[in-house]
Amino acid sequence: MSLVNILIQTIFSQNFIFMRFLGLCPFFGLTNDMDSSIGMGGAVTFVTVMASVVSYFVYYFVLIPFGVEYLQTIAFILTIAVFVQLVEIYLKKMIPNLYKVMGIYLPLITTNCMILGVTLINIQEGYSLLETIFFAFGSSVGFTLAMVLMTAVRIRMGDSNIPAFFKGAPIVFIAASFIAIAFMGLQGLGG
Amino acid sequence: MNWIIVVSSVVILLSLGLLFGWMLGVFSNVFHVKENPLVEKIKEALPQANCGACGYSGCGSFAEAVARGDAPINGCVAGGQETIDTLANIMGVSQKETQTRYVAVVLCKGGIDEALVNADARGASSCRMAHYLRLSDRACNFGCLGYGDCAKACPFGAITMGKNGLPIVNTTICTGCGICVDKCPRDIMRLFSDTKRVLCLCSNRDTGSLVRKACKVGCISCGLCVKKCPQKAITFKNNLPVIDIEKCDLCGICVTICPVHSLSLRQALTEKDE
Repeated sequence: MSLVNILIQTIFSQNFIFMRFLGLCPFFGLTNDMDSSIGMGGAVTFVTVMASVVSYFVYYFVLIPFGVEYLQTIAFILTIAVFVQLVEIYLKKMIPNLYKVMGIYLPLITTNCMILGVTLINIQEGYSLLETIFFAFGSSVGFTLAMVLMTAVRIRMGDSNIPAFFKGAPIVFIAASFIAIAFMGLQGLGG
Repeated sequence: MNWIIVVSSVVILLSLGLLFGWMLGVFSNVFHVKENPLVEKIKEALPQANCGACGYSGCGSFAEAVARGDAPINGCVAGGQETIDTLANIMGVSQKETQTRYVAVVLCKGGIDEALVNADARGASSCRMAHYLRLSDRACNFGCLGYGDCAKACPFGAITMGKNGLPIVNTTICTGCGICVDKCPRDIMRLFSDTKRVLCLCSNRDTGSLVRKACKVGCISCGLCVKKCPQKAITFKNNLPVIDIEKCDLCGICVTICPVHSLSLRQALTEKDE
């Protein structure tokens, strides 16, 4: 499979949020304003790409030689946690405003199932290192795209007159499902 | 059981963890230098109650603001003079003038024995609930409800609920942060400077006859204190006496002549002063 195909698939037709339904926690929790959703997208992109690369090495150069492939889940979680910590330390010192906005969702990247999903799918599909990087990058761009789309929808929702019983979470879920249906139209794109 | 597998898994994970931990340690050291060491020092000097009385979200953000020079060093109400001195030392600023100390005062004397009951209402678990849902059996619409929202809210444990159902403020512990003032739905908790003064310990703004029906110790607006005050320091506003502290010389005549049984006017805010 070509690298471009991987990118197109992960961003559009196999978008992690709308098609695989992974990583929904920040998707619903942090899409209130554009800055924080783009910031979250950036943080997730960094963590996903770095964690995928490192977990690739951990899997093929540590776990396989020692014959302990069954440790992949826990080893990958460890890797992800480390990178989340790195991002957290970095943001705390360099971009404290973004750090404050992200609040609890930043440490929650650790348990973002999208990232673990990406690292596990990389291994499952037997991707090479280059393919791994593209897959990770594409999925996090897809994630950021989903965040930005949802934020735009939610900003518009703020101005509209929503029936009382739909206010808050329900209308957000409904909007998310509509976007997901729209994304289903892209099925088959990228091979 | 194959022990080699067990041991090797443990060893591999352990070494991975150690390696990652070491990396993190190095990384956080590299980035730790960037933070202002002043902030750390200021943080240590603050009471860490995160009461928010300074206007910032917590002690951490207040410390940052002080280090930037945005917040005054006497901004921390809870820490009192001690904290101000420490902060003045850290920041290299002299802070000579003493800040007025404030304490919370309960402006109601209507406990279980004094406040009259005119309804059968139960089910409230907090003052807030009792006030807004009208779940109080007390006849007085201005007095203490006795569910102790202030005591629960006090971050310093300075307020306890007395046996008569009224909150008791421990003025030595009270820092004047004003959280109880916000929590009290009936505005009975007020902050006053910690000096000797005469206060009307009743908040009922109704006229005398209505107060009579509600409470045994409420101010009935008889105006005796106004007439008898040698300094002419007392006026009436909203059916409650207002004492002009500039004129008042703390003679205590008003306190003795107040006809409502347990005095509505009390001299000396803190026993400490006497």
